[in-house]
Amino acid sequence: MSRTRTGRAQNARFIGTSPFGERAAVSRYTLQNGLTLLILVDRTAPVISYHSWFRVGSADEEQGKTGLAHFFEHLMFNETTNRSQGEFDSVLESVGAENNAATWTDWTMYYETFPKKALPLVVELEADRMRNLVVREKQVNSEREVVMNERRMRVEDDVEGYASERLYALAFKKHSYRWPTIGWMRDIKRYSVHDCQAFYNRFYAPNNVTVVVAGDVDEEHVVQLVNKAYGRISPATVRRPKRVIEPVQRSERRETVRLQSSSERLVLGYKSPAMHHPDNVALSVISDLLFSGSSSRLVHRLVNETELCTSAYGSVSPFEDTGLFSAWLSMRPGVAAKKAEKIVNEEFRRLQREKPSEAELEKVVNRTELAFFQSIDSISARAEQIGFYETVLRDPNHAFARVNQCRELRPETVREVASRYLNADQRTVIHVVPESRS
Amino acid sequence: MSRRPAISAVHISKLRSGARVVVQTDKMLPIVEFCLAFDVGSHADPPGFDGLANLCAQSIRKGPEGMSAIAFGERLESLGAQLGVQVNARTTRFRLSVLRRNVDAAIDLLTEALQSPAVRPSDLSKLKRRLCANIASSIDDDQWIGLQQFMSTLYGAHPYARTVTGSVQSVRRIKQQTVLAFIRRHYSQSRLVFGAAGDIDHDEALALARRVSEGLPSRKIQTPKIPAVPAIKGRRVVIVDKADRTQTQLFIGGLGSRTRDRDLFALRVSNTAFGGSFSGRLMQAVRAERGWSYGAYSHLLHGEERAPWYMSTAPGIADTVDCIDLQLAMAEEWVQKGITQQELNASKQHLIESRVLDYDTALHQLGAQMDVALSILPESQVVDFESKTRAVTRKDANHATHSRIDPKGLVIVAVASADALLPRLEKLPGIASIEVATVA
Repeated sequence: MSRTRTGRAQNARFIGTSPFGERAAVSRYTLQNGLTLLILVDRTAPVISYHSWFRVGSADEEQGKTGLAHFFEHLMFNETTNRSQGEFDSVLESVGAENNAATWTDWTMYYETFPKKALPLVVELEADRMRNLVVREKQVNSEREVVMNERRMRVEDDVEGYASERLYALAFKKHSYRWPTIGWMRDIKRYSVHDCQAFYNRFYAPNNVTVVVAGDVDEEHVVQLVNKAYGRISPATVRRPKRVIEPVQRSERRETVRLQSSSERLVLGYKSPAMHHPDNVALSVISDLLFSGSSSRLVHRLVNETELCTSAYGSVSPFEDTGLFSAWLSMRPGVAAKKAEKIVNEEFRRLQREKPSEAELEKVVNRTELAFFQSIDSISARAEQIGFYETVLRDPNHAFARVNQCRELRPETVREVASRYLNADQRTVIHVVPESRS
Repeated sequence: MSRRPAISAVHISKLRSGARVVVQTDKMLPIVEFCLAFDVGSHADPPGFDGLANLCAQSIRKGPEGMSAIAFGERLESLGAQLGVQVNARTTRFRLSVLRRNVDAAIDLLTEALQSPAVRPSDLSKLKRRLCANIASSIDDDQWIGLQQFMSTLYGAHPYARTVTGSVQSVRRIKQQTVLAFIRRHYSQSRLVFGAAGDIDHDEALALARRVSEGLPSRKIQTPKIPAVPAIKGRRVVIVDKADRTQTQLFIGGLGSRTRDRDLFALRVSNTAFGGSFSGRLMQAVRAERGWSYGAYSHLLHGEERAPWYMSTAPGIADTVDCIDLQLAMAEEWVQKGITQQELNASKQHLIESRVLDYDTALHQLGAQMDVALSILPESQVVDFESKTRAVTRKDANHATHSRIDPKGLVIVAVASADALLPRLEKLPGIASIEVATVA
C-alpha cells in the first residue's frame, strides 16, 4: 500500500514507520517545535484513543515539593484562557469521550478515548491545555484537598499502600524514587500557585511530549490537525533534573510497621535493573515463574501447599533507572511472616542453584504471551503500550520485542540473573504487624 | 470499513441440548476468550449456606476426577491459559483465556472439570480454609466493608443482602455432599450459555459448545424467584467503627430499580445528571467545589427486584458530617425539583455518544450478548439503547426520580472512627436510628 504524505502540514516531518505486530505499523512524525507524533491506524472499532505522554514524573521533583507532578496532573483539568472551569470535562462527556490521566516516577500521561468524529475537538482541547492553562489559587486550594484525600485513601488508610511507601523510602537512599509519586502529606499542604506555574512552564512544552493517536483515523488528517493545533506553540528549555545514581546496596534493610491489619504482611524489594537493561526481561520471567498462576513455585508452596498465605505476588518496576523486584505476601490471620520468608529464601536459592526446566520456562513464556496479547486487546490499550515504550525506551513497538526476548530466554540465563539480583544483601524488607499485637 | 458502533441484534444459537451459544469473531490477536456461564448464582444458596454457589464453582475450578488440582493447574497454565471463576447473585461464569493454538486442549480440560468435577474432601477442606481466610482478611478493605454493611442494612433478610462469599460460619457448615448435590442440580445442559470471543469462527465455537454441554446432566430446574423488597422507612445510620481512620468511606442510598421497570431509562438519564458522570452535580459539589472527596458518584443498579441506588464518597474525617449533610440535601433537591433541560440534554448525549466505547472490543460485545442470553437483560435494552435514551423527556426523567428515589428512606453507612462522628451525626435531619457496628 503506498503512503502519500503530501506535505501540506509543512511543519510536520515524516520520519518513518515501524511495525506494530504483524498487521499494523506506527508512523512517526516530528513537528518543528519538537513534538513527537505517533500514529497507529486501527479500524477494528470506530473509536480513537489520543494519548499525551510527558517526560516528567515524580522522580523529576525536588525535595520539599514531592508529589508536584501528580498534583499538576490534577490541575490540568481546570480552566484555560479559552475554556472555563469544568468545561474540559463537560465538553468531552458531551461527545461521548472517556478521559483520565496517570502519573508515575518517570512520566505523566493524559488520554481520551472517544467516537472518531470527536477528533478535531480533542486535539484542540489537548493543545489548549498544554499551553494556556490558568493556574489560580482557588483551584490550587481545592485540588490540594482532593489530593490529600486521595493520599488518605491510597496510603494512610491502606495497608499495602503504606507498606509500599515505606519500602521505597527505605530501599532508596539517594535516588528520587525514594519518595512517593503522590508526595508526602507535608509537601502537598505547602504547594503554592508559584510552584505550580513554574512546574508547568518548565515541563509542559511540545518538545517534552509524545502524542499517540490510535484508531479509526486518516493519517494525513491527524497530522494536519496536530500541526494546526500545536504547530505555533514554542518549545521550552526543558531542564530535567539530573538523576542521582543510587549507591549499590550492600546489606539488608528491614523495618517493622504496626498497622490496622487483619494479618501480617511481608514485602521484599530487591534492587532490579532499569527497563533498558537486558536483565530486566529475565527478571520479569523470574517473577512469573515464582508468582504467576496457581502452579507457580511460590503461589503453590505458600498459598496451596502450606496454606501460610492468602495471596502472594511479584512484580518488577518498569522504570527508567534501577527499580525493585518486589514480592508481596499476605499471611493468613494468626500466621507469622517469618515462615513464609523462609520458603521465599529457599525458592530463591533453588533458582540460583538450578536452572528451570525447559517445560517450566515454556509455561512461563506461554503465559507471558497470553498476558501480552490481553494487554493490547483494545485501541486504547494499544495506544498506551506505544506511548509507554516510546517514553521510557524511545521504541514504540518494544512490547513485541520484549515478548520475543522472553521466547529466546535460556534456562541458564534465568539462573544467572537470579544469582545476580535475588540476594539478601540487596534487599529491603517491610514487615507489617497487626497493631493489636504490639 | 470499521465495525458498526452498536449491537443492532443479538445472535444466540441454541443447541439440541438446550445450551445457548454466543460468538464474536475477531482475528486481530491470536487468543480466544471463553465465558461458560450458568444461570445459577448466590441467590440459589439455601438459607444458612451462604457462599455455597461460590464454593461449588471454586471446587469445579480445582479440576476433574483422575487429576490432582495441582496437575490440572499445571496443565492449563502450560498451555498459556488462564482460568478464572466469577460468581454473582444470578450467574456463575468460568472465564478461560487461551492462546489460539491451544484452544482444543484447554477446552478439553475445562470440559472434564465441568462434567466430572473431583470435589475431593482434602481439596474441599483446603478451599474452605482459604475462603474463610480471605473473608477474615476482607476487613482490611474499608470500601468492601462499607458496601457489605450497606447492602445488609438495606436488605435485611432479603436474598440481596447475602454476600457471594458467605461468612466464615456458613462456609464452614458446607459439606462435600452439599457441594456435589448443588453441582448435580444446577450445572445442566439447558442452563449453560457458551460464549467465545476472538480468533474463533462460529462453527468451531458451536462444535466446542456441543462437546461441553452434551456431557452435562439434562435436568431442567427453575431458577429461584426473588421476593419483592420491602421499602425502608426513615434514615438509618450505621457506623462501622474502625480506629484511627483518616478518611470515611461513605455509602448513602436506598432502593433503586428493577430491570423491567418502564422508567429505567428515564431514571438512568436522571441519575447520570445527578451523580453518574464527572460533570454531574455530586462530583462538582463534593469534589470540584469543596475538595472533600477524591470521587463522588451515584450508582443506579437494577435487578429482578429493586436493586440499590446509592452515593459513594470518601471525605476526610473532619468533613464527614458536613458531607453527609450536603449529600442528603442534594438528594432531596434532586427528587423534589428534578433535573434541568440542559442537564437532560447533556446526560442523554453523553450516554448515547459514549455507547460505542462499551462495544469497542469483541470481548465487550460478547459480554452484552451473554447478558441477553442469560436473561439478565432484555434484548431491547441492548439493541434499542439509543432510541430509548433519546426518547426520554424531562418530564419522564423527573417523574421517574420522584417515583423511585425516596430521600426520606435511606441507609447511611460510614466506615470511620465512631468517636469522631457520633456527636454531630445525631443532629442531622431525619435520622431515625444510629447504630455502631464493630468490624468482625
